[in-house]
Amino acid sequence: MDGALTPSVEVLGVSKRFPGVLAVDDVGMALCPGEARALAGQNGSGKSTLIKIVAGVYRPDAGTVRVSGVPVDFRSPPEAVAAGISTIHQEVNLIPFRSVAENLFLAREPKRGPFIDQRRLVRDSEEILANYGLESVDPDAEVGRLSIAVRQMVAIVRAVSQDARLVIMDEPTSSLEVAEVDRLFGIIGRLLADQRAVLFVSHRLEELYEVCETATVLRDGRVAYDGPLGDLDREDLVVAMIGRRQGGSGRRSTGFRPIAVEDPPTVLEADSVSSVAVHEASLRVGAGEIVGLAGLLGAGRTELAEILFGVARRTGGQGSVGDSGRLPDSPGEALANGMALVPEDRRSQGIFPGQSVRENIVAAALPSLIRRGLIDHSAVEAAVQRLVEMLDIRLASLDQPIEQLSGGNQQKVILARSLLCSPRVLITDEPTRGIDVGAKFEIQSRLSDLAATGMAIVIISSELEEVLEGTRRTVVMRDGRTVATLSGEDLREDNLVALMSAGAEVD
Amino acid sequence: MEAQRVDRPTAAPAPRQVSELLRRHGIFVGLGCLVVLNVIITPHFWAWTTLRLQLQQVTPLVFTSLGMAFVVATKGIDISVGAVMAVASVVAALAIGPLGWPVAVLLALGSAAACGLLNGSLVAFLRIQPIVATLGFLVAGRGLASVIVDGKSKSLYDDTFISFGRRYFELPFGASVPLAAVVWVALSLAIWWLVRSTRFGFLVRAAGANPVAAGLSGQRVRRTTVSVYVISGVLAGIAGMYVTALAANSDATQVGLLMELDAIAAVVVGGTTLQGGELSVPRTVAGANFVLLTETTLLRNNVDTALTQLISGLIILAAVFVAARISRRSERM
Repeated sequence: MDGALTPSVEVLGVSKRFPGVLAVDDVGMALCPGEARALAGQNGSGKSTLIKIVAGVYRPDAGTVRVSGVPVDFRSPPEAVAAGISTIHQEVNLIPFRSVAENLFLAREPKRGPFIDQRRLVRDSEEILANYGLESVDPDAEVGRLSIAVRQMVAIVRAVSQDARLVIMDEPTSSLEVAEVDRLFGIIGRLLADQRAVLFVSHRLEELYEVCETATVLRDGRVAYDGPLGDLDREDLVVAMIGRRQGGSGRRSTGFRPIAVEDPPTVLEADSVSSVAVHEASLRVGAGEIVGLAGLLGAGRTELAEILFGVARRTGGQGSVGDSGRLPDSPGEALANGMALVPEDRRSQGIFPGQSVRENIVAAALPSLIRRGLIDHSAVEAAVQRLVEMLDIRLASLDQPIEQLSGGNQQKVILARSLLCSPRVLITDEPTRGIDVGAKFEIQSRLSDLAATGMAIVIISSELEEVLEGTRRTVVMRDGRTVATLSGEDLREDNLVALMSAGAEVD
Repeated sequence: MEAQRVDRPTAAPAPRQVSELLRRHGIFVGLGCLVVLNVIITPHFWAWTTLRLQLQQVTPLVFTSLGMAFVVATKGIDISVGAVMAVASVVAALAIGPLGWPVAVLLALGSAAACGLLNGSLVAFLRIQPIVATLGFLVAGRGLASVIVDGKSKSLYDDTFISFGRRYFELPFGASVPLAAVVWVALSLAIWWLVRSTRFGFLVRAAGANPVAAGLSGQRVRRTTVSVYVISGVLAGIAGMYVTALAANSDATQVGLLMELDAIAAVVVGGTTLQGGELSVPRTVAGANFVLLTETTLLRNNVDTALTQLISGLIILAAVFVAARISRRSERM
């Protein structure tokens, strides 16, 4: 075989199943020496799972990973590192209270007899750092005192000095300033010139185009695109990530029904609100309306919801919920003013593990079910039962711990928790992510029912179908700003894709 | 990122249900076995006087364990309970002479609550790890107690106060129960009922199970966190006063010494996971009785005191190990 064409790392037909979901489904990918490949996909597309398989965190259920043509079977991350695969995480894994030099040579320090040769340690470190244009970094500096950017570069240099053939970078720029990003890209350039391969993950599309010449796009655990990145323009890339609307123009692929309301009274209004991650975003939702919030990962949709619900600190702007005349300062106030939230991440923000389905449903509405200081158990039972029937939650008993339910039913429980508060405004953040088709359809159809009763609903969704078919108006976000509102004839796939993917203003 | 897509299986297979049953009810079986074992091997065990002594001696451990159970339910731990007992003890001992017992009791409870407030604030607002936050008071609290009384032990002469530790209720057929046992049984039942019937029990478990979700459900999680440390402090204060009344003496260097370890053991032996989200009053009370009875068993079978400590430590460690293994397995579901 021609040596120059042997990929540094190759993934062949890899699958990984977790209970209830096929996270990675028959995925293949190859990285040749000197190649920078973009790995793109929405949340839940299988990106992280694939990275973890390559980095030795997970073992694939099927398929093989090859390093320089030799099949490998990593049982742990250190085995992957030893084989030349280094992963640079967002939270850099260096030892914070040791020096740069000590971190660079961790566990392989130059020795003189039984002792570490300090002088050589520093000299070798200076040499390595200089090779990567990091002369300004003091090898004696304590890592914990360095900026995140410098730490990250030290981590990369360490990976390279350990003869990494492949460096996986998972959102490396998410916490970097513009100048630091340039410096990082400079280092990536040297890595490539050095015939190392780089797998680059970023939700900032312009960075993918700047760094990578090839791309693997994942969608629902499968490869949606594999080839030169230059053959895809921004819009093609976004379409590959989020999927093209299926079934032609006339048919509906979701459980939503058309909404017929004329000039509804406004119940939720935000006027140029800002937070750390959101810049002067505006939104208006009327009773009985479903309004979509569209945008790519990191566009600020969830962060806007956090402002509206009183989770994130508002640094500017104002608004109003219901009759309160203001935006809430805490989730408690939000609930009291008739707003409820179905959070983005069911597992980390939604469920109370170990607690019964009953308790998971009443969690937010409990204050309204107290009579003379005591829980009104029969009222709880009646309320919970009503919602279980309304949402058709499938369970063996209300005493069942929530983690025994399927993902779709867990999501219905979280929705039931919000509805039990009888909200006038319901914000749902990715309400159907990662659940089976049946439950998805049911939840979408329930949301339409709720809107028909006059509830104002906000749907944050990365799925084009949900936004196009479910919403009456959709607000598009990009880089923390609300950039456009689409409704009626304008609420079309091509418009959405164009707005979501438009070049980011550099700030 | 993919984590939220990982759905757990819909039905738990049989072995997990067995281990879950064992975790939930094992302590009652274990306690029963320990009693039967004693009836067989320990001379004069099956006599009312022996049982009565057991019920009396377990009193401070029941109080501190219940407090610990609240803290553990929020995924915390309070290793300062022994030191808080010492503080309450010296405050009561100092105040009782000049101020009388009712004021002394209130002052002691108040100081214990303040200790809990301090611990809880460190954990909730300064976000110090619970074990570190309460370690500070474990060391400083006992020192403070010693400083207050100038390092001397102090005898108490208030008959009413002392009688709390020593009074008995006469029962028919010549038997009698200690007042202390009546109090801990009644208080345990009351706490059990409150935990099930008020919102607070749910807040505690929710805060331990998932603080982020609790916050998004409108709860004030930090307030809950502070509350459980205050509860632990107050219950430790009651335990400290009981020990003081029983001995008619307050010795800052001895009151509640190493009590935190027995209390943690009682909670864990009771099958409560240290992962938070779980609060069981009956299992914790049974756990406290199990821990004390283990020590009694050894002492009454003439095992040397030092050796008793070693062996009971090992037995508790083994029980904790088994309980932890079982709960880890059932958590993995």
